[in-house]
Amino acid sequence: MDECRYPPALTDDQLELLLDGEVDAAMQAHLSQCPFCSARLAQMQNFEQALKVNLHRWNCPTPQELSEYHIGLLLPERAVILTKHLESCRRCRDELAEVERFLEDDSRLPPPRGLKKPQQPRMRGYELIARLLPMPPSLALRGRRGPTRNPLQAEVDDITIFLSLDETTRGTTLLKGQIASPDIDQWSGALIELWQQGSLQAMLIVNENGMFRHEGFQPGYPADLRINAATGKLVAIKDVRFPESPSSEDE
Amino acid sequence: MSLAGMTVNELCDKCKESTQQFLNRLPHDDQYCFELLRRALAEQQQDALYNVYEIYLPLAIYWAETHPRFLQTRYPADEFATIGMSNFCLALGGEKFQHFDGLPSIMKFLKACVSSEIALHLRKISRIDPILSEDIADFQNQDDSISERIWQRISELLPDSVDRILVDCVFRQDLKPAEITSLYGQYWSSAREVSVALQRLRRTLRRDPMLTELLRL
Repeated sequence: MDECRYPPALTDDQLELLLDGEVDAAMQAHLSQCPFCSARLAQMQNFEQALKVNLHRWNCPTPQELSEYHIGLLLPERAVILTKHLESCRRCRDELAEVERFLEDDSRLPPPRGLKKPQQPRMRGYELIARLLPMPPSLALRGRRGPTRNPLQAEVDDITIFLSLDETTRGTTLLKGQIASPDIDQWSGALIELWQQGSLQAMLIVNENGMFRHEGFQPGYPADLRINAATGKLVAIKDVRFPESPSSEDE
Repeated sequence: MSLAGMTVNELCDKCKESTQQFLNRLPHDDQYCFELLRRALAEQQQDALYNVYEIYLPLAIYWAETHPRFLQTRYPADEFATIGMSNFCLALGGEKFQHFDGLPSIMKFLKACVSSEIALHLRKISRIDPILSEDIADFQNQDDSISERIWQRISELLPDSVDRILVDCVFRQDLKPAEITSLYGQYWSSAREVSVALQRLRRTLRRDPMLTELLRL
């Protein structure tokens, strides 16, 4: 349909009014029966929506940065940039005011015994999920006495995570891991949550070479790892199950 | 025993005791918790870090649940508390810990980190195109460099800075006409004036093939 079914066609000005939410019975009736004019309105709405999606808060500081600004943790040069941004951004001013009010509100102290036990987060959509792959032993992390057995490898985007187990002389199990990525600096200092059976079992810190370890791992239970980089990137490895019992690291 | 001579487990026990006293509104000694946090964050000791999570994650969950906009998120509080805790620990790693001289200011920052995570989530939700997607994952990879190019093109098409203010208010900040008139009454004194000006600007923008291409329409 390339022309109006009930001429005259709605003008651009009339369509603009509809776009702004103006309710006009005659125009609505025209649209309901005219595919040509309703397609023109749909095109305008798509353009409007695309602008909003692409521009929405695109150059705003993150809320975390606004909090650090409020507390006084930002570098002076960055604080100057935020001050300037706040002058022209009503939304950021609102967020900053909100965090200020929230921090000052001590009226609702936590109940003495009412704090909840943390549940394992399931942040749908926030984390990259690394895919687990079996890995040949020859590529596994090397312990003191050669390659460890039962290694696992997980991948997502350009990040590969190697995991393996060793047994210590104390009879405990050592979980060892390494993150490989072209941008390894991004992962230095990252924090890893180790969850098993719905409870947080350990917090691990990634060193400057991308390596991490945890003694006291319970190999009998599947584990979930959530790796939080300082850049805000969040990678999860879910349902990690090691196929064999650990090898001995330091017998 | 001096604080420096205490093990992480000893500090943890004392900190738990002190935290319980705080929750019971009783006098409490902050020094053990502060030292535990210092070892976890400034010295990056893993066992201290785990204990910090064990003690303060429930508090962070409580703060998430009592945030004024928490109910709008429709997500469990644990989600915001856990990521807020991570951001808190990552932000205070190493030398930044020295900015804090006591437990109250550190706790204030943790509360701010939880609040920030809720605000970030709500920002992402409001950016989602309800027609095209309901999944926040689609915006995980939102490319701000495209946004920057779009804004550059708009700036070329609208040389008048007042026009750009209006586009910024409507499309970047999602402000309503009444909000715009209250902020920029010197340019637009009524919602009607905002609408008329906006219609003119939309026509200019819609006519530009390069902008249409950048918007992938």
